[in-house]
Amino acid sequence: MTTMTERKLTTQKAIAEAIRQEMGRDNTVFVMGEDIGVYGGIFGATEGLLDEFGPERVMDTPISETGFIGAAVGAAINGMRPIAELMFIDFFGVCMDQIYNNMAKVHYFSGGNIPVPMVLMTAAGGGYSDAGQHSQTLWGTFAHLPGMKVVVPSNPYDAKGLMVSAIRDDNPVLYIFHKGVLGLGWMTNNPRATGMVPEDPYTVPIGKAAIAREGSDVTVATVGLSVHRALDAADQLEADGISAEVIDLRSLVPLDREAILDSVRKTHRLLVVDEDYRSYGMTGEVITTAVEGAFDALEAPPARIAIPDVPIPYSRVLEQFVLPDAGKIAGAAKTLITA
Amino acid sequence: MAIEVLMPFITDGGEEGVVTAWMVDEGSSVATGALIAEVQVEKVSQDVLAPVDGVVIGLVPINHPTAQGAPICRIVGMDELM
Repeated sequence: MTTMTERKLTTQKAIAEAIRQEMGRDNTVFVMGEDIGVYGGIFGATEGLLDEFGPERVMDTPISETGFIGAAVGAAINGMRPIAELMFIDFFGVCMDQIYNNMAKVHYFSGGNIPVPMVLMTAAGGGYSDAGQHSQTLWGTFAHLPGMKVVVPSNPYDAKGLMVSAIRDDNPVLYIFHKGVLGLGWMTNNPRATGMVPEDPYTVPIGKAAIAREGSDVTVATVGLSVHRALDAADQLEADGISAEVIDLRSLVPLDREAILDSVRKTHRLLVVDEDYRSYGMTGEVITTAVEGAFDALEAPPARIAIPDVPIPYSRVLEQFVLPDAGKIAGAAKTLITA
Repeated sequence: MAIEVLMPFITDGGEEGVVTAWMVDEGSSVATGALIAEVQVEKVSQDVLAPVDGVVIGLVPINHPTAQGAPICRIVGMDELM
């Protein structure tokens, strides 16, 4: 027997496999970051790469985000395809000039002459008591700023396909993985973090949402770990006779507005769930998209669940209070149905 | 003959480990060297590869405490299933 009938991976291993295969295919692809080499990435996204490709292509850096992200921008400008890992998205504050004034804008500043084909990979999300400077998602912050694509996979299949797409894309791509979807042993076990992943390389298009579950009564649009929560909520709702459609946006920039509108025209009700802050963020953008494009289809005011505008608490009880979960999503969906 | 796949020895201290992810389902066919599970002892993770070709059966549940050196599943040769 030479083939497996099925092959599953955790999301973490799917990301590492995508990078490994792209590094094997294209020798301009390389990785830089803190603890991405010997340690394999603190969340395992670069596991095994140093042994296979050596320290010239898998570079452990000092704690110097401005330095190595700037170096990645320079390498991308010169024709390489770097992947830089910002260990936690919360750390963006120490390197935002390189991210936003250089990575995101050089293509524009050069009149379209100088592409910056790099991937900035970073970990996001809470739920494991890591406090307010290690638990944010912040994707709305980056999606707000023009010049970067922003992708957020929720499962192993998309994680691999979106990473391959991000590496091959000639634009800078912010690749954000939620720590809770990786399938890491030290996090709360999450069965949805392990799934079928084809061994051969493939792409998942950036800017296309996925219907994670079809339904007819209410649309639940979300991203990242909240997709899992929404799928759990949809199971609960089904028991109550409510059919929820779960849309995994997968990409905030570009945002698949047509997928949102198509679903709202079908279900006539919209709930947006986000583990990012409530104000000025993804929930407002998605709801506005629905109101602007499918106002007449809406049978109730759109609703949203997001982090209230407070820092993420360290206390487990308080943190769970502010995070979206299946019960909150199911409750909000029921309220929408009866509205 | 069924081959037992064991929880690897990761520490010297005799702590129990757990399977944190199964990459196969009960009854999946695997080839020698295929990744079948990720296990963890004292927060140290390790991959478990199939030692032989065959069909994987008797998977211990995720997060079920298992002694290092104790079986986490068995692999049965296809010829035995025929």
